Amino acid sequence: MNKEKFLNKIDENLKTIPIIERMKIIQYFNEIIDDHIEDGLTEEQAILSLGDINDIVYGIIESEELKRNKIDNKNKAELKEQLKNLKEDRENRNFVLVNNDYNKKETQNNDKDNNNGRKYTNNKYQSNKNEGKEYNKSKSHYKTDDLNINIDINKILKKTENMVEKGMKMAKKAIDETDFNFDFDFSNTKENLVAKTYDSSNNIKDIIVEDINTGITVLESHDNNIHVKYYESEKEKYNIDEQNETLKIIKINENKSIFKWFNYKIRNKLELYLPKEFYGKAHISTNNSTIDVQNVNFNKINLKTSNGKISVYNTLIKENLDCVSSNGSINISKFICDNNTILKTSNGKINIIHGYGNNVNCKTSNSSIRIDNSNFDNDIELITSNGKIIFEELKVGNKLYCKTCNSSILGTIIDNINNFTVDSHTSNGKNTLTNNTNGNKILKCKTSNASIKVNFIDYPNEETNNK
Amino acid sequence: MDAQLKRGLLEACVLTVLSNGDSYGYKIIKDINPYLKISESTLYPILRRLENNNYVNVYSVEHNSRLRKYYKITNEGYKKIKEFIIDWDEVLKIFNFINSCDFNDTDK
Repeated sequence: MNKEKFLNKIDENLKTIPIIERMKIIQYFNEIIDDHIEDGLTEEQAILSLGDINDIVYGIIESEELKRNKIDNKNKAELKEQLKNLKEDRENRNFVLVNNDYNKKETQNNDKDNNNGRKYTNNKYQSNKNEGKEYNKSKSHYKTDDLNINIDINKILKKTENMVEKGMKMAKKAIDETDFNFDFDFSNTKENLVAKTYDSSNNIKDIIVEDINTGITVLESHDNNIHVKYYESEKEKYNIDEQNETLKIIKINENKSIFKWFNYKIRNKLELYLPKEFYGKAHISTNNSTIDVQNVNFNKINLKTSNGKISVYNTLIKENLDCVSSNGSINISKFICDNNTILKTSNGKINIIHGYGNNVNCKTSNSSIRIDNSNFDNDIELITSNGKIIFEELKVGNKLYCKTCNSSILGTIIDNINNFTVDSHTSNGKNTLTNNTNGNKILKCKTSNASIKVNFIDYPNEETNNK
Repeated sequence: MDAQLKRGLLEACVLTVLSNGDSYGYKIIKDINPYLKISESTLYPILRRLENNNYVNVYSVEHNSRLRKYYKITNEGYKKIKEFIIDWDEVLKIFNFINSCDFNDTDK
């Protein structure tokens, strides 16, 4: 087994773990294998020395599982607390009801006695309890009126309680399903979902996916053909056709039911399998859901969603990488994009780890932007508001432009400070940069009410920083 | 050895290795192995835990045109080692007490 196969196998077996965690694990084993090889082992020997792949996976899942269970229990505890509060609330209300019943009985008893003096106190008593009611109404009328109201309130309260309880149960179910079932359970077929596949061995250069409310995953195909796995119900169908080297996958007749919102993330998922060396164009759009692209190389790729995450992992792109979302984060890692990388979202984080490319343009709002261990040959533009901008060990080809407000800019650049013309400004914050016009490269940092802390690390070789 | 005990020992061992200077995964394993057998897949969760608990910081260094993750012990990490030593002093006292057991009575 070679290294790539080994890492892919680990990756596949760890699908239950969030992608960021998984990436770190892969990176770790990649490094370990390289170190073994550097120490004189062959690739094969290095992998053999790590032991059985199942043991490795089991060890990791066990430790990851532990963490997740903790979260699980914490959430359950919170839910219990909520239910407890609800119960207390209801008991308080019952108490009020009991009091009302008591008043009612008293009124009836007083009527039986038919005593004038008592009648007076009775009326007085009731007038206090039911302010705003007409005083000169006949007694009997008064009584039934009172009685009716009591019964109604009783019913209404009971109904609301039942509904709240139902709601809590539903919410609990939704929480359980969405957060903790990383393995999507497709067997839950309330709407008669039918799993279908579409295979194509033709030469496809262009792929268009237009979906609604469904998560989309693009993965590497194990043969060299294209496969689509998807789910159809009576109300949701796909139209798939091929023409002029273009594959179109378009959803029709979307079910508009509002309750679907709870379920779509779990049940429906479109999986698109492409050859690793696909090198075609892809245009993928959905909404209210995530897009996940892994291990496939493209010429050009365009991903669009709303209210959902976008993640791209281990990908080579010859031209542009374009990601647009809203209210969701964008995570791009281990990628090479020969031309422009454009990432746009709002109210969501943007993370880039191990990115290599030409230009990169990141725009979000009310959230942070983070770039680690990356290298861009030309311009880097990071724009956000009310969110931090962080870059670690970034290599800048030509220009780095950072703009935010009410939040800090922190980072390290691998370069010599004398190569940069620095233009930085903040108000009400510290600034470690001094403006100058030294070098050919440009560094621009703008923020307000927060600090700018940018350091330069100049490594001639690794010995200098390996203490 | 008991898994829980081994994990605690390994955590302390990793921190001790790092107290002698920043290091990376492969080297940490090499340094610990003479004392306590550790495999690559057991080290990873330990490093993650140490990182999550803020006992170590992580940074990358370019080495032979690839990246290598280095781990650096934090002040919290040093505190953790101290705690470990204090805890084990107690254990040692208990051990000495147990060790004073008189085996001459075993014939009974």
